[in-house]
Amino acid sequence: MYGMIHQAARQMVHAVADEATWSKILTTSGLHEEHFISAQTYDDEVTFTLIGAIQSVTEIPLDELLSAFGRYWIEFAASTSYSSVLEMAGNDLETLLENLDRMHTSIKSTMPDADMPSFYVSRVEGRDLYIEYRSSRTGLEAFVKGLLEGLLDRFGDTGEVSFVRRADHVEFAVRREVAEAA
Amino acid sequence: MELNLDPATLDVLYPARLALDPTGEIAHVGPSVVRHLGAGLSGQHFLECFEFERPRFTDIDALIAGAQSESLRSIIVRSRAQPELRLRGIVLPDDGRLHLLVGHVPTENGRIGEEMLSFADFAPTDSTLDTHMVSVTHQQLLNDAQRIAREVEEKSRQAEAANEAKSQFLATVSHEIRTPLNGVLGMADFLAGTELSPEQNEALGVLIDSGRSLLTILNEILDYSKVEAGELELEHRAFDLGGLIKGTSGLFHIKAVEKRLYYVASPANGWFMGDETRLRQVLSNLVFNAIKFTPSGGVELRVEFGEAGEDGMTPLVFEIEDSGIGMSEEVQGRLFKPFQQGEVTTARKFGGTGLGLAICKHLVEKMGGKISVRSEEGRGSVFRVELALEATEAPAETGDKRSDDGQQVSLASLRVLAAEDNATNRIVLGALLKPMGVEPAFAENGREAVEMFRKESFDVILMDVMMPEMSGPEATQIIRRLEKDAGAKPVPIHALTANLMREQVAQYLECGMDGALGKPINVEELRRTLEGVALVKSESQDAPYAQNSRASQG
Repeated sequence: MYGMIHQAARQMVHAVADEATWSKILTTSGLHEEHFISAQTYDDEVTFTLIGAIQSVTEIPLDELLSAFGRYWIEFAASTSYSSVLEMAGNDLETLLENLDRMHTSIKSTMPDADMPSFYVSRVEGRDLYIEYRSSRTGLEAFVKGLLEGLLDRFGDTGEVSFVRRADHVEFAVRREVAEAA
Repeated sequence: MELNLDPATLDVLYPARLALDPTGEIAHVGPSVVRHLGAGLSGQHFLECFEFERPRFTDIDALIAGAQSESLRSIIVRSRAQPELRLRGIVLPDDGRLHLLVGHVPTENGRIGEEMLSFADFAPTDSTLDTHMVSVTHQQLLNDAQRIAREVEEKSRQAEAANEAKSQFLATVSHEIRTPLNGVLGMADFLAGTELSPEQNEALGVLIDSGRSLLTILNEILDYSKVEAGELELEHRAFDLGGLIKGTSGLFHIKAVEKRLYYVASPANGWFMGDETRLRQVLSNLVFNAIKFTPSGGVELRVEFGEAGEDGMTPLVFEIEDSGIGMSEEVQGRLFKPFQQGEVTTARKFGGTGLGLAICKHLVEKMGGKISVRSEEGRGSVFRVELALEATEAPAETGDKRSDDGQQVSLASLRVLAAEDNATNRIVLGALLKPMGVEPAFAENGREAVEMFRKESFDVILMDVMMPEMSGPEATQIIRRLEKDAGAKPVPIHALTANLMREQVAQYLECGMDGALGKPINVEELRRTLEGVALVKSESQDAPYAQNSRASQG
């Protein structure tokens, strides 16, 4: 994964814990400053080691941690130079999800080694969205769930996100509540 | 091959396209332009809504008529209603109509996100988004680089501050220890001049040796602090190399004989320009080290001269060879680094700070030379110092009126004022002066010294530098002013201080002092200084004319 993920993890820890906790996580993971270059692609092993270290030091259950990280990722991306890209990707959840693959393709033009997942909005039923998520990585469903929840927050929506593992993909369902009339 | 594209497909391929009819009116507006400027553009003349930015003087009629074919490619138009909206593309004439197949262009500052453009505003084949992503990634990497540079700078600053604090602490502690040690050594020297039993003499010898070893260690730490702070300055004065070698041989010989070793030094002659004290320090360090690490056999100091070069510099090689324990190549590799000793056990067995050779290396390099070692375990070592010094003539005899001219000078009649705030140092000074027949008057700070000078007449003033209420240099300046006002002959004032770096001594002289004596007090140096004062005093008494003439000038 690319270094921005590591930067986000660091910032998330700093947002909720002290410097000593982060130092402990760094020592546990064996990561150094060189592992936090935003546009550098790192072996997935490095990222999973970092997540494992955060989990081990904070003792937060892994799924809960990944979900929180997914939510934080949206907030983090919006605070970086990529905020303009996020804005261009869409002003509502559906448009953004439809543009995600195109955004990832653009990212690959600057980071050819990056291994990007794919999102496809397969069905829209009322305000509910069904998304097919495909990735070469496994075990990140909780992260994607958090990410979709983060997007709901971004667009002022409320709702629930759930997922079902299918043969070659994971199907996420985003059930949005109907916004109350003002 | 002919490719017919329907308007809907064209809108997907060029979301910002425009079509003009033969009169120049807008006939079709692509969805992205509608989103930004509204559908009301249709039916309006193109030039009412847009202006050509490139080529600036495009004739729209000529363009429609196909008479301006060179302008068909790479046009940029700008919305008059929303100037930040710029479109770039090509112009395609078709049956009297004009198609502007255009896409959005980043603003002049390279931004596209802020103008409410979305992915849908760009054609799938348009690389603007990719270009934008490169620009964003570039910005993010710059942010990373700046953050890392700030962190590195901060860490480096913290490390430097910590190192500086450590060095300063070492220097302060060493200095604080040196002051009472001066007292111990001074009193020991005093005792050595009294009648003692053989047992007491032996005990005193151990006391003096141990005290001097401790002083050497402290001086090494202080020297190294100066090296680290870049404060170590070298003298550039004429010195007698032969005298230096001869002068050190006695002590080296005694140290060698104590261990039943031999010490030989090759004869050397000639005067050179350089820092005699620091060269002596380097050679002493190397010879004492050699003696320390040699259990049997001995140590030899060889001096070789080369031919003077065109620059007038004479190559000099000093080799200190011993038949000692030697060392491995690995040990030789780190020998000149600070705080390193041959082996971990070396510190325990032989003591020392491990700074001596690091200081030697620094001194030799500062003199423009180099220091090296060749050695083999169990077969001794050879330390080699290579320098190039400017040869100079021996200074002409200046009729130096020193007591060793054979003239016996009595110091008993000297009226000495000693300004010294430290009680121990006052006792030591008093004890050292007593055998010379001198009983000094003491002032405890600069202000007291000035007061005593006003009331009494003195032949010489020994002035501590750092004192409470008024420092030595300040007191000296006042005394010089008083003398000048009174037209009196200046009394010799000598600084008595542990701070004898060249620029420090220069400051003392600048303040009106005549010289500086080091601490711990070297009895011989003190005696020679006082004898010089006594000689000048006796001569001026023999020559009343000089005094009268000076008095008449005042």
